[in-house]
Formats: sequence, structure tokens, C-alpha cells
Amino acid sequence: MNNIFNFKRFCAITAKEIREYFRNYGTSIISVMGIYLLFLAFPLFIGGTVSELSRINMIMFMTAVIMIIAPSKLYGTVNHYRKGLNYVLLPVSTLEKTLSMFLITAVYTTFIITAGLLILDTVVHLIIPSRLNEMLFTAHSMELMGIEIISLLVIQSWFVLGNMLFRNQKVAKTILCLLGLVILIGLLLVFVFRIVGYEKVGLFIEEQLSYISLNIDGSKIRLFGIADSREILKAIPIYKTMMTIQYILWAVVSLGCWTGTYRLIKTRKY
Amino acid sequence: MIQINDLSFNYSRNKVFEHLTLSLEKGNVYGLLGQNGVGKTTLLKIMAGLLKSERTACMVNGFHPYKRQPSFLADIYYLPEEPACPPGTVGELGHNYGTFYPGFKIEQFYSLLERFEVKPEKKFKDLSAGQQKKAHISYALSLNTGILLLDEPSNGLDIPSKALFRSIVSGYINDDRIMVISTHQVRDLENLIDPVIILDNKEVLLHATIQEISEKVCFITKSDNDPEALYTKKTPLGYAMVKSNTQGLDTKVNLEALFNAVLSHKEWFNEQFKEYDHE
Repeated sequence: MNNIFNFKRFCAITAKEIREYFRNYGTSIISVMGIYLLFLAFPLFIGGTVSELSRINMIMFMTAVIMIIAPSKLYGTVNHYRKGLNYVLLPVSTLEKTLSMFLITAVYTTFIITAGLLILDTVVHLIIPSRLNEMLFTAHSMELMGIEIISLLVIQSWFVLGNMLFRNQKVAKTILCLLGLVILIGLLLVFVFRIVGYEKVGLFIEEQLSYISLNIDGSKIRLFGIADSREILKAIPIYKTMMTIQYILWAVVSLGCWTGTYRLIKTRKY
Repeated sequence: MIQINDLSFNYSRNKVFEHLTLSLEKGNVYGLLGQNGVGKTTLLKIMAGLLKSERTACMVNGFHPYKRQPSFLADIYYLPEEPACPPGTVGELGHNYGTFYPGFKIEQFYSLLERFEVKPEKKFKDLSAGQQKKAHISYALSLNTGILLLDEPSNGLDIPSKALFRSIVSGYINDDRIMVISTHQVRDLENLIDPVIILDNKEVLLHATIQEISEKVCFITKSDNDPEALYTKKTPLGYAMVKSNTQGLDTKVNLEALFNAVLSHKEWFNEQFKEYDHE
């Protein structure tokens, strides 16, 4: 018997977790979809419309909530001294358990909630096209949501690690840790800027921003809310370097969090 | 088999075991006895891989338990004293988890549930604590693992269920299996456990088969107290006592009396039983 990875075992544990999925998380997903439906229905009563941008923002917000809560809802008991025993004693390797966790939280959950909300949006659009200006199934909307989802996956990996690290109030504690980390990085930047000199930093930023064209296309401003500033920011010389650093950081953080989760599943004492 | 060799274990500064050595062979139902806090549950958890031991200190079927490899996990199951209840129905426990164990038989699971009068379609949360325990015992037994570790299995069971449990377990054991039962309720498991392991602070006080015990000590009831007895308890029938078996009497082992005798005469038992090497 292969003790590291066996495809049949991996499929079996993934199938088991999919079977249990809607019992553990179905209510939350349906509730979120209900909230989105209310969000779409509300303007009907006041006679307004819902713009494409606000719908995309709302879908992304809902997706973010579902993705962040997913680890604690689906795997919250894994490190519990009593409730986690059935999971840890299951004759499946740690790698298979971690990969299945990834598949369920990162891929399956994201797909279910995004697809669900988009289908709901489309159905409402087909029923009352006059109140929802455009369909969201456009290449541009999909691209924007895709980028947002990638960044959400990075954040989710942090919450997956937090779920394994903390025994209770997992989401709250992980958010606090995230805030702590942001403050720490902020302080570090302040320290670096102090060494370099605030004036020099200010001049550098001004110089970089001066490359941005003042003739901005109105359709692009409209989408600033969901961070589609790439077209405009491309003019900045260091933009490409910044993006490369960001993608590397995302990859490192995600990989680090999932590796940490693997280690914690493997070494947790009960 | 389970081989524990020079095992030392502690929770921060609290030492639980120090140089513990023990060997458990197939074909036996081991009774793990001891006072509260001597480390019965800890020992079971180490065997199951839930707690970390030194690599060579605990080997189960040739595996280091803490590595929790699928080959190891497929042949061992640990049932805690208070098992957590999964969210679904009793039947779902078998369907969702049991299928990972190569020896699991769903028909056996349902048959045991029927004997315990637990309905598989019932949700765990709707069952009483005793019924939940019965469901978990049925599940544990139907996995048919080579090693089954039960922590206080008779706790929470009603009197008929205890008798049923004894009957089911005695039919379960065969030459390829090891069962370790940790218990305080020695009376519940009398006639079932053999050999007996009594743990005391950090070490094994007694590790002997029922036959070895009855060769060394006898369990008798007399109208008068005997000062030479290792343990005496006044009962309505007279004085129930545990004595050194100098006359070669063949008496039925009373586990509760034995346990008390061992605790009060540790050195005597240590001296008498050291000829039986179970390490």
C-alpha cells in the first residue's frame, strides 16, 4: 500500500467530503444566495436599477465571505481533541487529506458560490432585464472576477492555516493575526521610509504617478471599485516589477499556508 | 503486535510514563486497569498514533504510530470514552467512514446495531448517550481491524447492553486480533479480559494472564478475617480476601479484589510475578 499518495484513496476522501458538504455548509451558501437575491430585488421596490459594477462587487463580497468561512465550517473540527478523531484516524495519507481539503475549500466552494450567484443573477436578468442593465457573463466581467478570485484564494489559504492553528473562534483569531501582520508590515515600511527619507519616497511616488495619463477613459474609472486599475497603472515604469513581486508573494504565502496546514494535520496531537 | 519499549512520556512537567516496557500479542483481550490519572487513555492514544512517542518506544504492527500511515491506520481503531458524534445518521457513519477500512462489513454494522437496538436511520443527536455509545461500539467492531483500542467501553451502557457487549466482544476476538480495553468497571468485563495489565504511577504494576494470577493468588471468602491476606473486604457473606495461593487452590479471579490487592501490595506482586516475562 502506497502510504504517501494513492489516487483511489484520494478520490474516496474527496467523495466523502463532497457527500458531507451541503449538510455542513449548504445553509450558509443558500443564505448568501438569498441575500444576493434580496440585493437584486430591493431596487425593484424603489424603482431603480442595479449596475454591473455593483453586482460584480456584491458577488465578490459574497464569494469572499463564503471562501473565508469555508475552512472553519467544513474542517473546523479537524483539530478538536474529540471531534477530530474520526478524521485523523481515517486510513488516508496526510497528503491526500490536504489535497482533498484544497479541492473542497479552494476549488469546489469557489466554483459553487460564484457559479450559483452568477446563475442567480442571470435568471433575475432574464426575468426583469430592464432593472439589471447588462448580463454578467461577459469576457470583461469574468476577467475581473477571475483576478479577484485569485487574490481571494491567497487570503483563504491564510484562513485554512488559521483553522488548523486555532481551536476556537478560528475566523476571528485569524483576522486578528492578519491585522497584526498588516500593522507589522506597515511599521516596517515606516521604518524603511525613515531610513531612506520621507522626502525621497514622496518624490519617487510623485515621479511614478506623473507617468499616468490625465485623459482617463470614463469606462475605466467606473470599474475602479473592483481594482481594475491595471490599464491606467500600466503607465507607471515600476508597475511590472510590482506586479511580479505581488504574484511571487501570493504564491509564497499560499504555498506556505498550505504547507503549514499539511504539517499541522500530520503532527497534531489529540 | 504492539511493542512498547522503554517508553517515557510526559505532559509538560507531569511525567506519565517512565521506561515503560510492554508487549501485547495477538489473540488476546487485554484489560488495562489503573487508578484515575495513571495514563490508561494516554497509553491507548500513543498506540493509536494520537500522541507522539519516541520512534522506537512504541511500535504497532511494525509501524511507528505517530506517523499515521494509511497502512497502519487501516488496521487499528481507537474508540474514546466519550466519542464525538458525527452530524449525520448512524448509518452514514458506516457509509462515510467505514468504507475506508478494508475489513469493514456494512451488514455486520447493521446487524450489531440491530442487536443493540439502535436504528441506523436515526440521527446521532437524537440518540441518548447510551445509544450513541452502542452505535460507536457497533461501528468499531464492524471495522474488523487487527487492533481495537476501547477506552471505557461499558461506561454509559445499561445492564442488558453490558451483557450484550461482553457476548459480542467474546465472539469478536480471534487469533489475528488484539483488543485492549481500558476500564474502571472491572466487574463489567470480568470473564472477558485476559491478560490483565495494571498501571500505576509511571509503570506497569502487574501484567499477567488470568491463569498466572490464579496460580499465584486465590480469592476466597471466610467467616473470620485473616491477617495474612493481601486484601480483605467485609461482605454480607463474610470476609472476601485475596491470599497468596500456597495451597494450589483453583479459584475464580475477582478483578476488583485483585486490583485493590495489587495497589496495597505492590512489591509483593512485583516479586511474585516477575517470573512471567511479558516484556
